[in-house]
Amino acid sequence: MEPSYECSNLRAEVGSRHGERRLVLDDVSFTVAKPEFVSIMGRSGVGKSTLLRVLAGLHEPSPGSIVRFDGQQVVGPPEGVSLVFQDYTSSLLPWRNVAKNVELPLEGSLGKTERRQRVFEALEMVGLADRADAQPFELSGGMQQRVQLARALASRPTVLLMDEPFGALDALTKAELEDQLLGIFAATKTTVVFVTHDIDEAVYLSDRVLVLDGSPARIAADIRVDCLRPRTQLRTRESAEFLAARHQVYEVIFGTL
Amino acid sequence: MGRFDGLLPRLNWLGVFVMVALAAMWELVVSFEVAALRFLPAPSEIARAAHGEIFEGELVGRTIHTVGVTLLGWGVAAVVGLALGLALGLSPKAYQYSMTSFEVTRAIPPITLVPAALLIFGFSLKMELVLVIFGGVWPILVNTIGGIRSIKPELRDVATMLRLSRIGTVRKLVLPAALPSIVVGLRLALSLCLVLAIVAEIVGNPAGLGNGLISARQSLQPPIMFVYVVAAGLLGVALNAALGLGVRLLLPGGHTLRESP
Repeated sequence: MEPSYECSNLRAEVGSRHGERRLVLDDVSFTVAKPEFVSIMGRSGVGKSTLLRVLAGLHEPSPGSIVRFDGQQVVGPPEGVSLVFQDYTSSLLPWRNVAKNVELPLEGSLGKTERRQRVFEALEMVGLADRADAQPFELSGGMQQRVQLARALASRPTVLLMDEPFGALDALTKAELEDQLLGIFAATKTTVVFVTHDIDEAVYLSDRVLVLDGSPARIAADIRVDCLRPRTQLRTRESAEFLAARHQVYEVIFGTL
Repeated sequence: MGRFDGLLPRLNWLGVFVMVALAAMWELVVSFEVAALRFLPAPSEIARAAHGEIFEGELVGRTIHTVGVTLLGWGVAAVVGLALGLALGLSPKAYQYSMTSFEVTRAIPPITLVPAALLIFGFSLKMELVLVIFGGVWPILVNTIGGIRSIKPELRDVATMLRLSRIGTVRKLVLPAALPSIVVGLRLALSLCLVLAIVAEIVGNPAGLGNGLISARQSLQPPIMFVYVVAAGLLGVALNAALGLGVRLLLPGGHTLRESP
């Protein structure tokens, strides 16, 4: 498998408006192969979102950091990478309906008929093809997040970056969307880098779990999840492989229990 | 067709009834001389004077003048305010350099500039227009800048991730997001422009509704004076309604920003 992302010696600072800079990530090194489902797991505030933003090209890492996508150093959003934000209310456009929101990344590069086709496909993948004319405010939180996912998928990315996308949703909706995402992963073979603070979610979804820990943070563990695919909420979460991986992640975060 | 739905039922019939009842009470108070209000004429007298002013006087001409100046001044203020607001809203550096000057300048009540305007432009249409434009620019400028600067950072990230051009970002994200705030600024400016036009007409430019007020006062004709007061009030209502209609027709969703629950 060829690598999609390669990071080594990644250091990143976060600055406040008054100029104080805080070192958030130090010597972070890992690779993401394609097509792989990798989770970045850690406590709130450890720097997971910062790491994802570096991968997305939205945050410039400190000099000396090596962040490569498809062999090229990342400077700005790389071609073929889509990002799904946690706060769907702020990232969907309230003045556009669902279809036009999903269409946004395609405007300017595709013709009208092809755009319409892609929008339909993307909405079908997330199960919202019948709500194409709805306004975002008419939809539930889970549905809005699915619209954002459809928008990210519309441009047929090679990599999907997701920043705690299900964090604002209730547990049942979260479970449904996790399975929907796994279905999309299987169907499209898109590489996924998924940020979460939920250990169970990280293990359930991923091939590998990267645990980010420390201040400044580094990759504390790179844990393989050996569960078979396709995964199901019930059987997978009761399997020995799932529990073993979960145990390992817990030990890294909380120490040996 | 759909955009005109609900305009008539939305008229507040109860409110209109109360208004008519108050006018009737006013009429009774004056005609039965319950109170000696020499300079507060009855509605019937005002109505008669209105008839006179419309058909034999200059009410129509004066109204056209005031409307014209208000709309022209407001239009210029809108163009200037929007353009400047866009530039300053989008560039944090430019904003930082200029905002102190603007905060000081906009705090000056336009009315205090009337004497200066008179000195510079004399008793002329120019004086009236300059006052109207100067007063109208500020609400539009401030609201445009405010609307742009309050756009959530996530939207800017969305624009970056989708690799939208500068123009594309402004057209597709910035302007629609700032639109509700901009519309508020335009509304405020319109009311202000009407007031300033009439003030300028009272003090400086002998034309329009303001001039009608002064003429009536000088000839000691309270009914005619009140005709112009009512006319100014109705004009304000009409202009606001026209703006509201314009916003609804041209900018669907521009008057509300419906946030998700």
